[in-house]
Amino acid sequence: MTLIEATEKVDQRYGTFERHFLECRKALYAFIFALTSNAADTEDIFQEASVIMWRKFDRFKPGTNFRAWAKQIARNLIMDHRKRKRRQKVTGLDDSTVELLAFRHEAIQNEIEDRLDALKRCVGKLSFRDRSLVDQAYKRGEPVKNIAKETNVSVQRIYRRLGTIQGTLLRCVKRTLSERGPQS
Amino acid sequence: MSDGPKTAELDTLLMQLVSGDISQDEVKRLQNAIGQDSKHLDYCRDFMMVSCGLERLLHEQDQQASVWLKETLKGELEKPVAVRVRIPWKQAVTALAAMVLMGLAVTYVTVNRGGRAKSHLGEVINGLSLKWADPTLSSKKGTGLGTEQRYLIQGLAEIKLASGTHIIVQGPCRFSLENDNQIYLTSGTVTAKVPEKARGFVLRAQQGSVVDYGTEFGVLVRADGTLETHVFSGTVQVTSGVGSDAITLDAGSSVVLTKTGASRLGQTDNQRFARSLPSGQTHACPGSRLDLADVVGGGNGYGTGRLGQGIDPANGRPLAGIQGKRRHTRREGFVPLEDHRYIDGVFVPTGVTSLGRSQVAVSSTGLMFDRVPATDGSYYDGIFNGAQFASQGQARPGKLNGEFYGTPERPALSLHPNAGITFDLHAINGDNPGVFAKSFRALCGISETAGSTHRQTTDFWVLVDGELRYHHQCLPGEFSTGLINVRLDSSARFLTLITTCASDPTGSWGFFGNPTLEFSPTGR
Repeated sequence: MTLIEATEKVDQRYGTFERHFLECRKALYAFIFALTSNAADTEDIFQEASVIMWRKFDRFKPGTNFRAWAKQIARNLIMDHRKRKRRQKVTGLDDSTVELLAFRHEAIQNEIEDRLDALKRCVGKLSFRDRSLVDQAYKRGEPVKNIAKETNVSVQRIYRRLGTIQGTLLRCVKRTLSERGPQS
Repeated sequence: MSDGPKTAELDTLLMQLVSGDISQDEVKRLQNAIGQDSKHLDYCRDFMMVSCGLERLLHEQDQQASVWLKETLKGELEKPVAVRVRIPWKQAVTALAAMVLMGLAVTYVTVNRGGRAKSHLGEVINGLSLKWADPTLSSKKGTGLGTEQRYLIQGLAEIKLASGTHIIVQGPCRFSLENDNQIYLTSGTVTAKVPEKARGFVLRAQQGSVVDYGTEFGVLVRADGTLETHVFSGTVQVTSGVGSDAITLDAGSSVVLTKTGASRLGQTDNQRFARSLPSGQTHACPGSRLDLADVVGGGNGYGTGRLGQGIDPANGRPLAGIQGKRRHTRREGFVPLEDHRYIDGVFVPTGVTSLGRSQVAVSSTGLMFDRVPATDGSYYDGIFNGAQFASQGQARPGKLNGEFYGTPERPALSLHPNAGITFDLHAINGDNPGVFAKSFRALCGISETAGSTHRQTTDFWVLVDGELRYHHQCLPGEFSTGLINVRLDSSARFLTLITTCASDPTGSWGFFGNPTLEFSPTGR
């Protein structure tokens, strides 16, 4: 094999990998988030999983389910991560609940794109005040304690408000999906 | 799952879990609440999905997936490519020497070859005289826009967002695309046309946000942050940043939100916003040159006005076309115009002072000017966008220095004596944040097509805040052209144009050619 051929092969391989990755990235990210319940951990695991997926991409059999393959890699990483967290005595849901969540996640894996799409529209319907709070908590990643201090409101009240907003968004997403009807 | 206190508590606990701020006892409570019930589990899963969506959704613009992937795998992709070169041993020495010469002992291959198109949130699909603050940004069609803050210094840019929403950005304008269906408008004017598939388009600004429900609307954010929204079709929801209730606006209505949160409802001003790009060349250029003739035609100064539309100087009523009629008014005084945002008012200079001159009010604030000659209070038709004069039932175009005027490329503001008009520079400057009118430039004179009908001395006057800044006189039968270049400072409020004839004004086909306000940056 010539050097040019080798280079072209890497290019081609990357192109195929990128296509698969872009197709399943949102579902994969959502899966990791559901099992870690934490944004920073999700970012780390998602990144690690992406690198491992690329390294092992030669072992992926074309024509099989890339998403399932990617999720298996992520799942192993999540379990390792949970062990580390336990050693550090970090509080979180127990293994059986996480396993159940992983199981229930299967039921919505084909809806992820639609749900995110609906969520985008629902966020747009939030009042300015709620949107600002969501921006602070998620976009700027400000700890709730800081938001509470800034706004002179108790931490628990901020959690309650954010929880209510997310509950509202959840209902809006479901309503949007049901109005849209089953997708072909 | 029923709503109620249980759901509220679950929401709060889940929020704490997601934030990593939850005690062991609270986790236990949460796990008990979730239990083994599939409905509760699904609720928990869906709640996580929303959290995850908000994380990704709000970070989406910063992490374009393919760029992110390339960055993440950069180290991996730069590893040497394992090339197994089978070379007969006799050629080995030659091959090795060649490789050394070529510096290819170790070859690094990067996947990013620059050939792949960078993903963008929107693309400029049409433009008129575009000038961006970023010199690397092309003024041509096809320019991709990401999440960076953009400053369109001048021109009109039609941008198609990835969601399908079309926006027209009018210079000067500072904005950024936040995602494929959301923009942040710092200052300036934007018109949005949202197709059904992109319903939910959001325009955010300092004082509030506008959410579309399948519509076309225009938004202006002034330098002081005031947010003005006008709905042309459909419905939008406008929410103030100070926490007042959302206002639902239907087609034909508008609302102004101020810093204090006060809102003022009104009607849509259809001519204020560019809803499409002009098909041909225009003299006006948003952010650079404003055409006062277009303003007389009911427009925004950038081509939204109607050619041939005018105003009766005696009463302020709109006129639909030139009829060549001589009219008289006994009314003395300034007529403020409520419907024209950029026009303070109009008047017919009339009346006689003890010095044989006419003293006229030239602004709604009572500024007076007393140097125009006494007139008989008559005028022809009115003040028009265009230059069409009628003689013996025949319409003739306006002509100065051998050039015809009255087109978008070469506009004309007809001001057949005796008439006056005052423009509100504060209103104009306020709607063009980041720039101010630094000068008024125009030509003036009697149309050369008037021929022998021009039999009276005609005077052209330009005032700033009631003070005379320019005067040009055309003697009978003379077709001299006055060149006007009046400097304005940023505090100037009123610009007044007047034409007068001391006697019968018949045949004094006076007009201003290329009546232009030229802008300069405010430095802010």
